[in-house]
Amino acid sequence: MPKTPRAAFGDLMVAVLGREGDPAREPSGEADEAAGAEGGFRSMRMIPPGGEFAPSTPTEMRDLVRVADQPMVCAGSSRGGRLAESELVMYVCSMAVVEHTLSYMLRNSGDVIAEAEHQDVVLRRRDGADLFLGLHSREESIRSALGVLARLLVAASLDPVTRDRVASALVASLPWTSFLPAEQQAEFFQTLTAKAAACVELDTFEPLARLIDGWRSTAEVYGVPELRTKLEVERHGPPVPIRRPETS
Amino acid sequence: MARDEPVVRPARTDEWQILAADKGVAEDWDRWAKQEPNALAAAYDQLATDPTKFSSRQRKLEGRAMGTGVYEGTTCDRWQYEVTNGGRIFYFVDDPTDGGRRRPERKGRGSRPRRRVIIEAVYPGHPKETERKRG
Repeated sequence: MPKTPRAAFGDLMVAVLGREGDPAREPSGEADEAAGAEGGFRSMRMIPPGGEFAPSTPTEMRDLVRVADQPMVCAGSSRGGRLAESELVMYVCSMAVVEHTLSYMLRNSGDVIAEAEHQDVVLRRRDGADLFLGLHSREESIRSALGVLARLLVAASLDPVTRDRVASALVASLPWTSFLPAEQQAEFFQTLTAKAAACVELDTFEPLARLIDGWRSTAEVYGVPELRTKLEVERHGPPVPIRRPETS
Repeated sequence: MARDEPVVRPARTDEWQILAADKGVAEDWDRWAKQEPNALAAAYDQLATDPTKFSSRQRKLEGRAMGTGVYEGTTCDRWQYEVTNGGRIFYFVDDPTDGGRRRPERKGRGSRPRRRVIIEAVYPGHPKETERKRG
């Protein structure tokens, strides 16, 4: 099943900010202390939807956006005020979904709608892409959280120290990027931040998910020597019409 | 043409023309089509209809090195279609209409250039253990 934009973006932000308890991202000495003071991130705590923190006001979002160049203030946190140890509390948990076939939904619409009150529902279809049923309010809150995360990513990319740390941490957090050559990893991060900025402006995150999917497929090509060899062959033509196979 | 030789179905004017980048790729396609006719027919239909649709099967490759390729002097976007688990078609999208924004010019007295999907390479993937045993 392809990742939804929100799930793909959740992975990405874990890559950028680190996961709580992730040894690669925990402070381990003076270098990390210095990086923290300059805007590096120590850890990220994930809170499920409906948990203690969900950024919803412009003030809260603005506070999060400033984390790259200022000590962080997280107005919605239960602790409130300035956070010790530059800990970032963020809402990126992707919710569990329940799956049904579309025909089941049509026969049992009442039950499925009751389920959708509490969790998102994916409706599988044989003759088309799957459908998605959920509360509009829940979707809106997730979109606004994604907006905060995207702004954060853009802010992080503006600071050279943070940008370098994130780029070097990509392989640890998104293992598939290890198949990309070094210059391609840098290009991945560069295009990612540019696309994130554009998505924030347009309030749509599908292009970002497509970009990540495209890079993942590109990494697969680099990871399979036979594939890479096939694409390195220069094709000079002439083009040949191909036949549509006869189906049984 | 031999009597029993299958003919290439002409593409409708609103469809994309499906071409192999060269004879070798066309032969690879034919070989794979004998093993997976239904999956490749579905791929053919999808590429003829909408080769630039993003889906779990269709993705555009990214990056300066892999995101584009040059064919007949034209730089084209490089896409992949996942036919089976592990089996892939790599193709260039050559759209002289620029996404329907302009009308391509005729070259001499010929017809207007068509929108083309150029199959650059096919990769059936590794056969499953059971398929290897069947030989």
